[in-house]
Amino acid sequence: MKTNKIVTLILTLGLLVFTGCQDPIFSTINKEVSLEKVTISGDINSIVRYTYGGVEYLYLQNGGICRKVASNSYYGAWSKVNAPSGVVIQMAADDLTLYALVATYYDNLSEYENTGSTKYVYASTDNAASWTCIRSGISSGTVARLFCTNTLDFTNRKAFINIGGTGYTCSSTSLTENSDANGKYSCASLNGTLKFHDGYAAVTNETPTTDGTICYYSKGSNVYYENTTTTLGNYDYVNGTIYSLAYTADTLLIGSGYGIAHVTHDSTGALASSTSSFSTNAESTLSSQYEVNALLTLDPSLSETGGVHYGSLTFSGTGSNSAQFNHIGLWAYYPARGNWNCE
Amino acid sequence: MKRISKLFLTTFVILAFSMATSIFAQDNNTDDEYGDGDVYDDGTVEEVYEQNGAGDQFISLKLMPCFPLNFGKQLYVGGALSVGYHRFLTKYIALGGDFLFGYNPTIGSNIFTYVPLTLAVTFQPYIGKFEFPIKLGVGFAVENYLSMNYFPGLIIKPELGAYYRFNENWSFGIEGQFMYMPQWFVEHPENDSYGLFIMAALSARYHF
Repeated sequence: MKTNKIVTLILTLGLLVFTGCQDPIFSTINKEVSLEKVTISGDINSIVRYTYGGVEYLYLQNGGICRKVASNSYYGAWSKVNAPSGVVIQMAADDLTLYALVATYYDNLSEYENTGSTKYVYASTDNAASWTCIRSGISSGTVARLFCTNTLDFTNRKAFINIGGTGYTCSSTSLTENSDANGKYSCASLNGTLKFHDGYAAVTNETPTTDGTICYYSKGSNVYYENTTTTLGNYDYVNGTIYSLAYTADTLLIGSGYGIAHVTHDSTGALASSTSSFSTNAESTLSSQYEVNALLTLDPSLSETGGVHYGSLTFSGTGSNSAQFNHIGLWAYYPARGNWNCE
Repeated sequence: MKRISKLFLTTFVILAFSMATSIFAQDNNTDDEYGDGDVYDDGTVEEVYEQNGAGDQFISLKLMPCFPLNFGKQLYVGGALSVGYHRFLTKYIALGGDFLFGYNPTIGSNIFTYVPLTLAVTFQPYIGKFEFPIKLGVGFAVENYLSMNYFPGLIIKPELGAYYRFNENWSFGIEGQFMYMPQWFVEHPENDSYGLFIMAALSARYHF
């Protein structure tokens, strides 16, 4: 009887040890910082580059539209600008025009909720001073995704929209059917060669001084990378669907339904086989409690800790975890500050 | 830190043992009223009612603020709730276990939570209706922060308290608890760290 008890005790202890998980909680807490006051809150699905009058701007939507001069790399530089009426849910830009996908809602008194009504596509060629509707009547039940190449070289910027599986190229006055974009959700430009993908994210290794030679793109929870002709590899890095990617000189940032992750790459652009820990507070801010829907690196020629990055958070899954409402919105990493914090 | 833990444990055990010896020794000497080494029973010695004896049990409920000691400004003061069951082996020594739920907010508006389960040995001298438990608990904890978990984490928890025995069934008092919570990583020792916490508990115990 005594032997049985001892065996049970040993088995229980063994089970405890071998079913255990050891995440570095204290060392992550020690990297946390005091949070700034949130100035850009809400669901942000797009952070896009737009050049107007020779000035590079960054735009984002959070229901409305916000903008900053891209070189103003400090906290509090965003300002709210004129937006079409309705709720702006996505943005894109090409070399000349800004685009906004806008949803309208009505009070559904029988269900006591706001129900989606109709979606519209608007265009602006004057730095968001005025907006023109270029497509109306997209029903709320039709999937619509606005996306763009978001290249550093503004002459390679193109914008597209997928409406119910049909792809269109956007221009300032209309949408033109484009079969290459059918069923696609993202696009990158390898020095003018368009690479469409059905995952939500695509980015290249283009820098301000060099053309892109490799395109990194997502497919579910996998990251693939390719040159203009060949797929070079793929890895399944994260638990959730990947929504955003950003390239830096030493890492690829991966935004997913399970927070942010990063993976190193070598000088040829080949990715490491697994993700690694952050030296910054990224894991405690853009944490696995949230979806990272948008990521943008201002200057991909700089290292991850030496460059400016923006990332947006929204609730992940059912929201049954301890994610907090006041963390939903835009976050930024500035090298002068050395940490991720609220914008 | 491991060496400090061992030293602390050894000191605690020696201290508890020497106090026990001294109190038991005093207790035995009180029966030797003539000081000749013999104890005489002339039938006039009264039966003494002891507050606790072998087989007595109690359940404790404690509510406490929890102060992190070694995190600087990274962790704020949190709180904890503890429930325990203990059984006396002698009138001074009890064995039992404690379940605790604790939390501390972080500087980045997140929450660190921990659920230690400890086995404890208690040495409890008393003076009149005042009881002074000295306890050492050792066990494991489930530690959680964002989506990170550390399990099983070692917990070492010495405690000191003072209680007033309100009646046969109830005692109320205060306790100070110290908690050592290491996190060790075999493959990434650069992440090794530990948490030190001190708690001041208001406590109620039901004796049966």
